[in-house]
Amino acid sequence: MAEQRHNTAFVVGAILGGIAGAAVTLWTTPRSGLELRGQMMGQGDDYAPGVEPAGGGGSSDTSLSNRALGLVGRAAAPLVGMRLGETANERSTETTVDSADEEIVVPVGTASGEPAPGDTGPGHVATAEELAGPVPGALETKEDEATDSGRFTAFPHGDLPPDPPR
Amino acid sequence: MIKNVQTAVKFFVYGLLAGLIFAPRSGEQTRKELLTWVTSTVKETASTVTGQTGGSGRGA
Repeated sequence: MAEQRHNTAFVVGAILGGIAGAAVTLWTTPRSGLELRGQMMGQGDDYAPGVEPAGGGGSSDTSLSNRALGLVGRAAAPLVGMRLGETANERSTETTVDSADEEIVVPVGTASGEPAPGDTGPGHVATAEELAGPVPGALETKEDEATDSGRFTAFPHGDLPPDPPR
Repeated sequence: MIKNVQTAVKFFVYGLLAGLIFAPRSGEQTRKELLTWVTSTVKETASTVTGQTGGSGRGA
């Protein structure tokens, strides 16, 4: 009988103590449990005070998984050749930018207006005479356009249109 | 008796830790929401009681 009373007192004390402790904490805690856990995990800078991060309770698990993936990615980067999460598009973009930088570089001799010997490629700098003269191929294009335009006009030979019937 | 107090204090500390780790929001927000909930509940209850009283009074 006395032992049963002891057990009952233990259970009641445990429940009341737990409820009281939780209530006091919920009433006086300075920040939410999510923020506290983030700070404990060393990510306190990501949480602004009083601002709930998006995603609710799942973001803590997400941050943990992100940290784990980051560690694995950094460890496996020398083996795989690229970091985990880095797409092929990002790598191709970086490569294109690098090659573009290489193409932009102009030799010192051509910067003064003098074409380098045998230089007719993209790095060729036009002189003032070339700029003042006709553009090669432009006249042919105009002639072609004239013949093409004459093909579709109603009076290709310059005839006047007949008078309209009265 | 002392053992019971010890048990209560022990579980009080457990409750503190659990509340700290799993608190859904800060204490300030909790107090505000609780105050808002109490105020709205009291107002609704009061309006319901006064409405019922007024309705029965008119019927009588």
